[in-house]
Amino acid sequence: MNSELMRGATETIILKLLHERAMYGYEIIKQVNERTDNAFAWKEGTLYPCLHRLEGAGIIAGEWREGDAGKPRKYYLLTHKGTVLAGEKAAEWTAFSSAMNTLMLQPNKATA
Amino acid sequence: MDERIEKLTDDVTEGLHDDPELRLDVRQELRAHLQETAESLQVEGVTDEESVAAAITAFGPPAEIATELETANKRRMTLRAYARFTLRAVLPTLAVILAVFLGYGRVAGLGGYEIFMKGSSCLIDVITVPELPRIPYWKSNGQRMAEAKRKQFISDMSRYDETQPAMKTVVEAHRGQADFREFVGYIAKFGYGEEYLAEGEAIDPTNAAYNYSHAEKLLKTGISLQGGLNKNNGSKHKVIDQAVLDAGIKQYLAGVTKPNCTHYQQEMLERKLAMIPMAPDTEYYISKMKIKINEHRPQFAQYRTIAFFLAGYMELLVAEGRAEEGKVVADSWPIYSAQVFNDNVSLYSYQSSYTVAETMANAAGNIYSQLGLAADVERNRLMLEKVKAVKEKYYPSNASGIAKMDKKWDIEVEPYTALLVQLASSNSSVSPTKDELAPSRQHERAVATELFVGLFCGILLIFLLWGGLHALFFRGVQWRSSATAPLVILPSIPALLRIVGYGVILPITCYAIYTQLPISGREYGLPHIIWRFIGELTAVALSIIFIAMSIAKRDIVKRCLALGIPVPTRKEKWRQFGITLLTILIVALLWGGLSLVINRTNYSMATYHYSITDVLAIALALISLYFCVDRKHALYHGTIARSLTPIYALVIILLAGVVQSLLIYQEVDAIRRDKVIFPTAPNFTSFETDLVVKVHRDFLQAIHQPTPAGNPTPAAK
Repeated sequence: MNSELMRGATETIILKLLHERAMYGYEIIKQVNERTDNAFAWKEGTLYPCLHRLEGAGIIAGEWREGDAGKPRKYYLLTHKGTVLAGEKAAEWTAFSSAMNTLMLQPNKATA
Repeated sequence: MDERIEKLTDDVTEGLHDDPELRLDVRQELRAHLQETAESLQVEGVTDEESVAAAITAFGPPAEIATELETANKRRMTLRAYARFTLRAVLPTLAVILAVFLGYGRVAGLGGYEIFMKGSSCLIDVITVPELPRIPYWKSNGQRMAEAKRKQFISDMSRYDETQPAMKTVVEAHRGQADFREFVGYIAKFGYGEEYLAEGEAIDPTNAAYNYSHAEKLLKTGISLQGGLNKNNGSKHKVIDQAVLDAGIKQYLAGVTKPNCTHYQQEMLERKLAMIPMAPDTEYYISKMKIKINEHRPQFAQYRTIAFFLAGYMELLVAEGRAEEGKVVADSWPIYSAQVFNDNVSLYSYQSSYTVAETMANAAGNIYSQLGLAADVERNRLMLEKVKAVKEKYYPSNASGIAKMDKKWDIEVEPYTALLVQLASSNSSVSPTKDELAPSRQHERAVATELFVGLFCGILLIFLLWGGLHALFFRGVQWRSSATAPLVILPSIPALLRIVGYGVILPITCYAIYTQLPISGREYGLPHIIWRFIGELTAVALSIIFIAMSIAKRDIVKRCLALGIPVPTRKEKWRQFGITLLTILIVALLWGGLSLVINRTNYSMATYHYSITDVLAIALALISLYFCVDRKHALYHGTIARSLTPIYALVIILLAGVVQSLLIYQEVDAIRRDKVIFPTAPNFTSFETDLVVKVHRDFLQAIHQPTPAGNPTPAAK
């Protein structure tokens, strides 16, 4: 998928997933790949700068927790600011995608 | 751990090099990610080798991710860099400065009552009371007092200038001279005689002979008072060489025919006479009060200083053959000494009255003799005898244990308590109850708090310096070249509560309970043993530090584990401890052996000189310690040292900067009102009232003085 397109969407994807529950980096990628059937073909390493940027902006917060088999993992969860933003992004995306769908999928009424 | 994963995480986090903790955090996160990817591939049947390669490929281009990581974390790194700089550089520096500055008085006064009373006084004069003479705080107590004395006299003269402009030129001509005699007397008590006598010549050459003769008297008193101490305890106080002094006196007597001390004292005397028998002139009183705050003395003790001055003046007039001028002072001594007692009716002020009476009566006797007033000489002698009899009655100098306390009369409160108990048994049918001794217990608590803060800061300072050295040392022995020991910023609120609860409240509560038990040696009547007290407080301070720091350390260890820093196991820690101990032992044995073989040294510390074997042994010890260092866990040790150091610093700043300053303020305030150590009349216990009323009555009778109307006679509670 086009990387320019991906870049804008990554934040929205992360916020959407973390809105469901706290996740660690590997889990986020796994979830995305499973749900989209590997459609994005992410370079996994690029997820982390994005997570750190959001953490630095106070949108999400990192927290080390014991994972399975006692391995420590860094879980990310939405802060209050993040929760608000996640709602906004979701609404924004719905509006955007429906507009895009309308534009892309329906025949041009003007010429019809 | 796979080397390729390590290399990748290392490369990708290169941009975070300046923030070791963040870098380790990110490394650990990426490492976990790569390992999990590889493991999931292995479950699907891919070989270990291939799975790691695949995980690395899936991860993406390292250079690009490295740049993005750096950009994403830039803002955070800047903020954290400021926080680290504060924790690593600003806090410890501030803590060291504060602790040294505030702790100096304690160190300088160690070994005497100064540890109680003078701990913070170095600050009182430089900070709290700006009008006081400013004496550099690094001067020893003796020097400081001597200088304060001198400056006080000079300042008295300045005030004189203000009120008497016409005399200004006269006074100006003698500035810095008149005070010297008193000044020498003062410093003689502290064993700084020789240097100051020399200085005295420079200040006041015309009066050098007189100064010397006066100083000689004082020095002799000083030597006879301290002689026992010097012989038995080694030379605690400096003893002036009598031969040098005699030679000086002879030399100056040969050169100077008549001492010339008529300036200034005359004028000062008039001012002092003016205040007898009234309450001290306010301005003068305040100026005296200020200087006395510096010495932690109550107001009635100031009368003694004035009495010494007046006695000195009478001696001077006798020496100059002008005895008739001194008669007015001689006649006034009973009124004056009564005034001391009437002013503040307590056993302490009685002690001052007695000193004032004895000092002035002796000098007055000389005046009467020179004037040939036989009747006055006899009257004076009888009155002095009566005064002494009163003193013997209430304060017997031959009673065992009490004579020893004489010198400490107005210095330590516990002996005072003991004295009250003894007085009760011999002069009163009433014995004080434990509650009635409350003022001394209150004082003990005040002293304990201040002493504790000082000790605590001192111990923490050692830890701070040790932590700093440790951190520096482990900086040189890095675990991996790419990993610098991080500074873990602690702690969370639950961790803080744990530290305060277990580390601070628990030990203090235990100590409080202990002081209430009979085993603590606080059963009333026992004189207080200061070293035992210091020992107890040191133990409490150490418990607090060890418990609090262990809890803090546990949290740092948790963070180390999360960051992937290898933490030594208990077994490894003991092993390391054993190795270090063994190394020290071997070095010590080698040192001793070598010294015996090569030097055939007799190990007496008094005659011991450092030799080449010592230098070799110290070098060997340092090298061995370097090699037996736990290199495998250097990152862990470095992290602990770095992370604990700011905590030590913060506690020092809080205690030394806030608590100590508050205590100093309270102390100054309390001394100003003479409340902490010396309870005012309405606060007397019934036992004290009973006793003091009797002493007061007998004393006034002895000097033929009436009990004044409106006298603040102590009232029972």
